[in-house]
Amino acid sequence: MNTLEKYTSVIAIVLVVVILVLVRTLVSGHFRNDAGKWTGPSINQSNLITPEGLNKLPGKSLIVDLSDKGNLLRKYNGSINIPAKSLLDKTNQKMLQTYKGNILLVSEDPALSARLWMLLSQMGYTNLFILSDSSNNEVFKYKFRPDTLTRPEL
Amino acid sequence: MNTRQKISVILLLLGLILAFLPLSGNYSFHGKPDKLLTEALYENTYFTADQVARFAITEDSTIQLIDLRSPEEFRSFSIPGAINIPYGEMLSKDLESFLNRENIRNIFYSNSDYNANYAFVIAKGLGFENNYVMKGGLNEWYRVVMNSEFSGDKITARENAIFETRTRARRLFTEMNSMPDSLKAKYRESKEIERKKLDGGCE
Repeated sequence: MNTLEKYTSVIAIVLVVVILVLVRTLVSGHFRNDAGKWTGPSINQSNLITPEGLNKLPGKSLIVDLSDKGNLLRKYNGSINIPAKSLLDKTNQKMLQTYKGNILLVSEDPALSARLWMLLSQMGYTNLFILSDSSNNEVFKYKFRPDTLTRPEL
Repeated sequence: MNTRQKISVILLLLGLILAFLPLSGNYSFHGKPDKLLTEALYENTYFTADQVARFAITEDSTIQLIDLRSPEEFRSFSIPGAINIPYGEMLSKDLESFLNRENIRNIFYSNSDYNANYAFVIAKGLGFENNYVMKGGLNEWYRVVMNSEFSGDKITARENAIFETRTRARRLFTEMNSMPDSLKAKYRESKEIERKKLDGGCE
């Protein structure tokens, strides 16, 4: 007991440091550690689901229309509208976080779906997809024809 | 227990804590998701293909075009002045040297909209500023700039200016990308040297 009293100041300092380090390490804001890990599905494009591929997804799915006025609600049965700007509202977040199934983001603007997919993904959402017209959107649709007469001088 | 012993014990314990911490050099997002969402929704974070065409022909030194396609695709053709950071390898690069350049606007592009916008959010989430996306990617560039045609009787001054920019950008794109590979590599190398000089580094 006597020894413990001697070390009180040391233990107090170490405890404070430990707590600070653990908070900094484990609770890095609202985002998960190691951004690279969460970008994986976007690199191999496994996060893109076509309307045809929707039925092949295991489990139930929730389609989230990100438009302001629910423009796509009619197109996708059972979809819900969460305007992009309200995506992180407490109610919406609670609903999405507790949903036991696949969440599919859909928008008329692919840029918007991509941005929000990455944001949610880095927050730790798994089973998160983008409902897209094509399963590979990064295809160049044209053919570049080089000018065979071009021979610039050295 | 004297002061020296106390300090020794503290250092020893701190050393033990550091030894067991899961430290890695991996990137992680920081900041608040709300802030990142607001930034992701800014309409002014996009440039059109026409705007990028103007930057390319004027060799605007405040712009850095970042081509996110594979090295093979990049070697085949790219927008003049662009550098290549394949999207899949983005987080294994030293992003600080590419994205954190004072007064330089980074414009991401890929073939379409997806990879460029993923990259935009990654760059923002990691705390880099001045990031933009060329809306529609190279497909849009090709549709607007490379395949542009004027059909009609009258042309306004504004339309004429846009058409002129597109024509010059198309010529530059075609000439640069028609060069033999060795010359293309030299051209890109010279651009890289210029970039380093502008950053105040050595060749």
